[in-house]
Amino acid sequence: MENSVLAGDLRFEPAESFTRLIEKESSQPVSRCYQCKKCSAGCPVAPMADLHTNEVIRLVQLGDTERLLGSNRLWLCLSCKTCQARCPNGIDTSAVIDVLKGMVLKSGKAPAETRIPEFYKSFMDSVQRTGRLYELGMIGLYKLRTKTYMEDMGLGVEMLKRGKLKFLPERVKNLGQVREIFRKGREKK
Amino acid sequence: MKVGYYPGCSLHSTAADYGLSTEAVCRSLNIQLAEIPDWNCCGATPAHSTSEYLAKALPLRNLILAEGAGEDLVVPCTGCYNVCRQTHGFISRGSSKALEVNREVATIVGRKYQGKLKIMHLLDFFSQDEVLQELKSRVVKPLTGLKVVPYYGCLLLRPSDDVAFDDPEQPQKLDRLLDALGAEVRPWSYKMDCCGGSFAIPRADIVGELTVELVKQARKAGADFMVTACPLCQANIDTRQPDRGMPILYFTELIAAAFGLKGQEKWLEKHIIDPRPLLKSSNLI
Repeated sequence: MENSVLAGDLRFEPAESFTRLIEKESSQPVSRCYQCKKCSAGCPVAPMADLHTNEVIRLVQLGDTERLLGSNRLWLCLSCKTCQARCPNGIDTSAVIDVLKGMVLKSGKAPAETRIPEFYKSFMDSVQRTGRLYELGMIGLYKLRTKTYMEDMGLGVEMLKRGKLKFLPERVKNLGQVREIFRKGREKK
Repeated sequence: MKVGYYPGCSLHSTAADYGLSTEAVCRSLNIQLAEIPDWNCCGATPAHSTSEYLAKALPLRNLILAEGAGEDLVVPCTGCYNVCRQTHGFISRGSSKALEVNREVATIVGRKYQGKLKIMHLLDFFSQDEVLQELKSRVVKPLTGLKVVPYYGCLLLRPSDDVAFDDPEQPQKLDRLLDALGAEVRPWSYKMDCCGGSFAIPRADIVGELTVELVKQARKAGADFMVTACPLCQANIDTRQPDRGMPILYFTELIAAAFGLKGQEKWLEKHIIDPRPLLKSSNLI
């Protein structure tokens, strides 16, 4: 991806090069798709997303980066892999979508859905700090970033009372190793 | 019997009920769970959605630590299991990317992952013939009359090449286990449908729509309970039902009930939708 100009340049460029790039980065045989639409038929977020699963693959084939990277479907993908299980051509669209999400994040443009990427970021920040997920800290970060302070307050209290949310984080002892993995991850971007 | 054990973050917090019941059932079966020393979070969906490198490197550290401690690794959390198995598959296929990640993580952790671990989901572990026979022989309170639907969810069996230990469209192992405990397993078509997974916090509206449909279908199938092996499925069904009418239990909690284990309150009291009235009315607790 490092040599790609596409992340910063969101024009419609009908070119085979984009398909090849996505095939390489996702290890998915995108050009095999013949639009049978079994993926879309089984997709749990089909009613909420602005593109169907089969349309994502078609737009990759066409090189329409503008529509792809501006689509909320990238973020609404649950990675349930129903599309992967049913594709007669062995394409895992959620793996393709992971690559496209990476391109959006790298481009610095605002994702078409705000809450989900903020949640992912808060989750990963929490793991970086302690090596294990500290739910309460992660929720705090997420709420600050999205200004959704009051949402699910009642539920949060119920979970705390039942010991399903912990007040204190668990820490990995050899936290240096986890931090070093994160540092390498930042280098790769 | 001693096996390597990776509880993951959930079993220490949001799925503490799953963790406690798993430990109790294994103790009663003389299965010693040896926790991976100093394990870290597997990264789950947020890692693979934001960083290809972290999605592989975080679980790889755990696999290296587990491989240093034993041959088997049992994983109860379906999300962790999925990530561990996908990472194991990725490294085993030996692509240039895989070799590079393995080499780099080795410089941090001290050794490479050799790919020799046998990674099993707890449900798969309990479904082995000899373990299932043992389970059956230990039932003192058969779950007779209890109508359940087995809810497998997404990550247990998909993507099938790397993770499936059962048919990915028509799985049977949870059905068989519940049957062995004496429950009445109801057929339904939503075993493998998604609950909304990690959207629980950012898009509770979507999780709400998906869980309402699942609960409606479970009810149509005549179920008193839904039964799962996944902390995310459990949390979403348990917390996102408007009428809070359908309890969802971990399969380990039903094993504990069928074994008549002491101390079941410890985990049953943690549910948002209390399963105890129904279990009591069936004289199971």
